[in-house]
Amino acid sequence: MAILIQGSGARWRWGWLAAILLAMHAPVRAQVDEYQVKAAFLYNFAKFVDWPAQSFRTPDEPIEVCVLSSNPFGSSLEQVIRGKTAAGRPLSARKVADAPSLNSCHILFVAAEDVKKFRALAPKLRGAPLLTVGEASDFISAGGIVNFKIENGKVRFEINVEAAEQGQLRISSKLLSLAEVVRQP
Amino acid sequence: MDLSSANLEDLMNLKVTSVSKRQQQLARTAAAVFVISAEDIRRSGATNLPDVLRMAPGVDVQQIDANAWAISVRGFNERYSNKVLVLIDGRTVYTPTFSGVYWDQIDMPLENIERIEVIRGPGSTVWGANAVNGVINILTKNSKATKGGLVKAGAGTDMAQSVAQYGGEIGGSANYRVFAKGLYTGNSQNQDGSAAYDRWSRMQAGFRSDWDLTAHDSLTVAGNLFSNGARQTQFQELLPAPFLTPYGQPVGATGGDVLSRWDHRSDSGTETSIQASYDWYRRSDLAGPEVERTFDVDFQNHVTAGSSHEVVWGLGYRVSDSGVAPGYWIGLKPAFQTEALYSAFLQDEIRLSDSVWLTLGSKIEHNSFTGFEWEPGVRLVWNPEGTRHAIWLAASKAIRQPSRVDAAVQFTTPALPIGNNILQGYVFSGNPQLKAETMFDYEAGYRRQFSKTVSLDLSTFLSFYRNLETADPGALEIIPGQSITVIQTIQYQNHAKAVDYGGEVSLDWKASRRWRIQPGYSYLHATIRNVPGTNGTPAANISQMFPQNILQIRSQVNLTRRMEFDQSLYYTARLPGSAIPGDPRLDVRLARRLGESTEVSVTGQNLARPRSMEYGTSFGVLGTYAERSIYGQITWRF
Repeated sequence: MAILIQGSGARWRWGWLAAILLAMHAPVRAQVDEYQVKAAFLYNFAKFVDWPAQSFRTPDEPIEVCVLSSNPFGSSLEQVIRGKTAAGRPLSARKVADAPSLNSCHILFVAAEDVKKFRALAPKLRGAPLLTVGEASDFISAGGIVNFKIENGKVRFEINVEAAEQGQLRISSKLLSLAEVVRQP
Repeated sequence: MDLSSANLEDLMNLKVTSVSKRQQQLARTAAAVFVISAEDIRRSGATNLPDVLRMAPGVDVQQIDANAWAISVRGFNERYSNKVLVLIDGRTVYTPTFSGVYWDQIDMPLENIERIEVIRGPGSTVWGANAVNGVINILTKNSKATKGGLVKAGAGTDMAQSVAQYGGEIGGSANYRVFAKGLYTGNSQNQDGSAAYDRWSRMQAGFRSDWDLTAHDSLTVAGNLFSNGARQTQFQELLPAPFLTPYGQPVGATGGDVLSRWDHRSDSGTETSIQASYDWYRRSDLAGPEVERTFDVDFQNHVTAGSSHEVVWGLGYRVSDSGVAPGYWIGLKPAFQTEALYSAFLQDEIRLSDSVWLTLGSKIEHNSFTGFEWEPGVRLVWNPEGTRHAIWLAASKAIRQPSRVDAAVQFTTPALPIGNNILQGYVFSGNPQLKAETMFDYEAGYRRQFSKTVSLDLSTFLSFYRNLETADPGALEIIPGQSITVIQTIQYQNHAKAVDYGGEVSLDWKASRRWRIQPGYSYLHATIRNVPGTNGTPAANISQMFPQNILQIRSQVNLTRRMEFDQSLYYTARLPGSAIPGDPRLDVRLARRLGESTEVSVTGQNLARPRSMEYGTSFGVLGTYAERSIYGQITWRF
């Protein structure tokens, strides 16, 4: 169980700022790396999803954002959630490799190449209050709840509301209104 | 723009860049590779596999009649082209009878193709014999990606087709699809405008299933059955003039294949696969009934060794049983024979630095005709990290092993009068002592992504061929009598050499959000010489076999969110001396989506001319004229 990101926040933030300044001066509107955007989405999902009370032991227990096996985010996820809160809770990120280490996760991101691995884990996760987020065409059919798609170069997502209900996750209507809603038992 | 404070709406409006691992790998491939995507296939409006292959720059696709094609890469193109290896899901589909492909036998529902990878130049280091001038690797979709139903029906002035398919889940971890396709192509036209005798109909049914056995293992089982009924106008090319009359010949073929592949991927990234396939057909064509059965098993292992070695190695065994029933005017001697091919290969991709990769490898094979053959290759690519361009160099040796026809054909024409009291006949025979045709090939290429909308691919080659097959006239046998009978013997020999050079360039330009243009051009210069002191024919019609210039422009336009307008223009000019003039070919498609599940399209093919002959006569099959045609099609998914 490796810690996803460690490192010197301040230096990175200045680098980030410099990059933004450069981007503002660039003649063409800069495009952003797919995973920076997906990381920002994950943070937003934390804000617009309510977990059942029993999935936290203490009122200030962090919302854990877990990434299965391969981590396509680099440091973007850590960048986005550092210092942020959702529903009064801080957020933390870590990488997970197997089912036992998933216990304290609230959000689980599954990269496209790990769908097979997820498919094997899915029966154990059935009904757990875990917001699973993927990015593969067969992620929903593998039992996932939210699935990213790229359409015309923009990130879109679908939500399987049946799977969310099974995990007693309440997804805000705002999030649902932006998603492509699917119902797949 | 701090993403961490961006709201959902902002995020949804952000354009993102994504570079897939596959694209990254493609960028540093030290070979001339072109990928035809499923989207390209759909938008081409093509109804058969040969028409799909036209899209790959450098692939020379020429229709002979309504059901026969000549398809090759970098020359040597004729009906029985034998220097390009064609694979479907890793299963080689060339026939051991003549080491080429019966294109009418391997058609499939085109919507099930995931992509087609076309490699120009040798792929012999990994793929072995016959991957001399190119490799065409057709990959079908995983059945996970084809869930639900599909019904397609189309009809037009020249053809009709229908596809029915259904896919679903078996339990929680497996998927399947079953499908059937029917295709009918009408007669094309003779020189004098009359209907040619070459219509074609085909029925095919098949399935594919994919099982996720564990998180690390998957299994694929697939199979097909087909039945073809066609007609051809053929004639006996060796007969003297007055007897050179064309005749109508029904051509029938039935066959099938089954394939099973097990893939294992370990946590450490090691990939192992075992694939077994069985393929058979029975065909009545030029000769008597031809039968073929092939069993093939392949093992492959991909290991990452340390931080700088990617090793792929494999073992293969292929056994085929093929023959032509005796008693017809073309036969094989022996009529039936079993041959085995044992092979092994090892390839190591070595990371010399962050931007330079060196690939070394070789295939070693043992075949029933020429014994041991080895096909080494070395490739180098320079792809500076963080940049979007690459330069590559390659040197390889490739061989084409003799086929059953090369070694064992027996073809005797009756002695016919050619003058007063003189009769002439031919005895044409294969040569069991033939050597493998060998090529030494040197390539260089450049690939560049100028921006998100423009990319360029350039490749050049210089190839030296030796031991090319020739048909050499032998002794005249004179039988005295009331009339004198002269029998000319002809036998295959390895008496030609060739030096070819040329190159291909292609551009992919997304001119706007709605318009994509892909021009391509390829040039080929070929010189074929007989070995001094010999007078064999290297091939029937040399200039016809070598396209000197191939030009193509494809354009895809999204008129509205639901309407597509696509055009393809192809032009092939052959070496000077070819009987076939350069003819442009224009295909245009207009399609509209109705709702989420239905697409209606109208496609015009061969629009540039009222009619055109693309290749002409090849191996006794009369070349015919394809007419301008139009067809409509509806595709419904549920």
